[in-house]
Amino acid sequence: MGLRLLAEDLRHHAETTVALAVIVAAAAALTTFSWSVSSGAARAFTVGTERLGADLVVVKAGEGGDVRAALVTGKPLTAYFAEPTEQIRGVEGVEAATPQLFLSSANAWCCDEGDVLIVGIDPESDFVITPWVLRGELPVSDRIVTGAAVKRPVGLPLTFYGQRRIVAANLARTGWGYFDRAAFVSLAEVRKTARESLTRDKVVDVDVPEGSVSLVFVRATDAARAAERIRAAVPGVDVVEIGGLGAGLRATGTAATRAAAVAVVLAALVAAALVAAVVAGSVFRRRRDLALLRALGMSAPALARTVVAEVALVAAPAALAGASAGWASAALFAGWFTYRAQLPLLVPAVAAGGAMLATVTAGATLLAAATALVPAWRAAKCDPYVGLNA
Amino acid sequence: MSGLTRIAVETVTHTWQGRSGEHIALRDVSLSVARGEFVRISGPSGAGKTTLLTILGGLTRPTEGRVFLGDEYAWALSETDLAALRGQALAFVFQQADMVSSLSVLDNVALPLTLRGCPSGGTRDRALAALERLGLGSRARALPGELSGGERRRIALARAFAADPSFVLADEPTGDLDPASAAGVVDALLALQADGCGIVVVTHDSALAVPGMRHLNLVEGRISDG
Repeated sequence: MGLRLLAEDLRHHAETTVALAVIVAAAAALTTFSWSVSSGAARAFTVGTERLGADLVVVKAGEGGDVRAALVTGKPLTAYFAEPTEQIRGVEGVEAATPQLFLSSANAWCCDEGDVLIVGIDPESDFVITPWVLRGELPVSDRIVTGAAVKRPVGLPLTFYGQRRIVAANLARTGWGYFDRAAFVSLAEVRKTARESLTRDKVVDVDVPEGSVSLVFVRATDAARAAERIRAAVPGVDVVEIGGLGAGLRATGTAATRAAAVAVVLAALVAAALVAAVVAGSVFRRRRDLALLRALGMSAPALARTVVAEVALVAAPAALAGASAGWASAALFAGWFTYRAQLPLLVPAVAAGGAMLATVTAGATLLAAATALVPAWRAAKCDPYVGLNA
Repeated sequence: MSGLTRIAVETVTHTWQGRSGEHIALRDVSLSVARGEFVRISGPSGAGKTTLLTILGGLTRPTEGRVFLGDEYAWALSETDLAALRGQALAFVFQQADMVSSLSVLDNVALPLTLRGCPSGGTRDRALAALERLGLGSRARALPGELSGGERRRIALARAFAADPSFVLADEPTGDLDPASAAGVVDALLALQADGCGIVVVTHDSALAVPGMRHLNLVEGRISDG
């Protein structure tokens, strides 16, 4: 049957065309959104824990509960405590320990870069950033490394607390606020910035006790045992196991995945029921036209194919549009998941996202076409004479 | 033109189930129509005229009896083959002069050719020629909803012209038409007959009479010569 008949039918029955398009687009959008959140959470979990490379986080006593928020959202740990790095290194089972000092740029000068987490790292002992940048890019002096959300290209300056720094490297997006919102600076420079903030005009004073840190990342052969030993050897600290933190994140991710799966199944079922109802209504309204086509020589299978082809012609572009909107929405709401729900999220980028769009579009189109089969076949099997006299 | 030389029903009985029980529409009816013949079937309302027409055209399967399209026993054919044969050899003019509401007059007239898979350029030329033959060339781009009853019937006949069938089966082709429009329809049927078509018309209209026509009466599902 010619495309002309299909196109004219779709044009002249606009209410059916629009209803089908809206149903399929909504289902595709919800599916892609759910898929993006589910796979984005899993991917961010893998990337983030791999990047961190630490087994334990040591913070000031009473601050252990804030570690997840600090790492996931990039909320600075501003409960400073006297640096215990050397003590920790001396604990049995500890392979490496590196201190970090956090400042929030939001507390800084009026015209500084906005909401950036300033992280002072020790370039000599660091194992969190060092593996991901070249030696010449490590934060030393006025050189800094920025996370993906800071959006400042390499070579350009970034100003905070009234001091200009030059971006030496940009880190890839991880979905974790700690990496993405951060500007990594040398620990010595951050301490100097804090000291100078007390004497500079138009700069908010940062009261960081001399020689203090926000946390110490630790690598250990046996994390649980090393944690126990650190607690015993270093007074006034909390020790958080990254494994335990990961389990919590994984549980949140699993809950998100389950919710996404339920949403996708529900969307598919509701969409299938609505598509079937819309197609049944459409063929009922057009029963005289369809009966005439049968009388003029169109076979029942050809008529059923024509109805299904009409549905597929509407469903395919609608599914693509819906899937694209779902993907864009997931990217738009990634910040909400990370900063409000404390779920790191890495929305699939172009290549993986393209494959996801293609899969959802094909799936939604096939589902719509398959759902249309029953009403299409029932319409096609109707006696032409009965149809013409309906 | 396809090569059907006759269409026929043999000892056909047809019943249907209504709210008040089983109704017999046709009783043991036999009829054969040869190509080039003009047959008028008349009778009172409810006599089974339209049912006989749709059974003769292979649209409705009779409860009993056999239907022949040429030498083929129609209901022994597959659904696809029967539809193809119907599309190739028969043209219908229904009581409502049905057309596909979303297509223009030209596309409606071209529809039987389109369904046969003919190339689109040729089908539209043939459809336009058929419309012009019936003086409807100017209505080619109109939609069915914009046509009068007389125009709809003549366009249904133009569809038959374009399709070049062996038989035209027309249900009340002049019903509700003014005398001038009815005369136009009869002229078109005669032109089709002159082209070699067999014509079967069921009608109440006793004025519909053409030279050499065979006239049959259908009363309570039984057929008799008129």
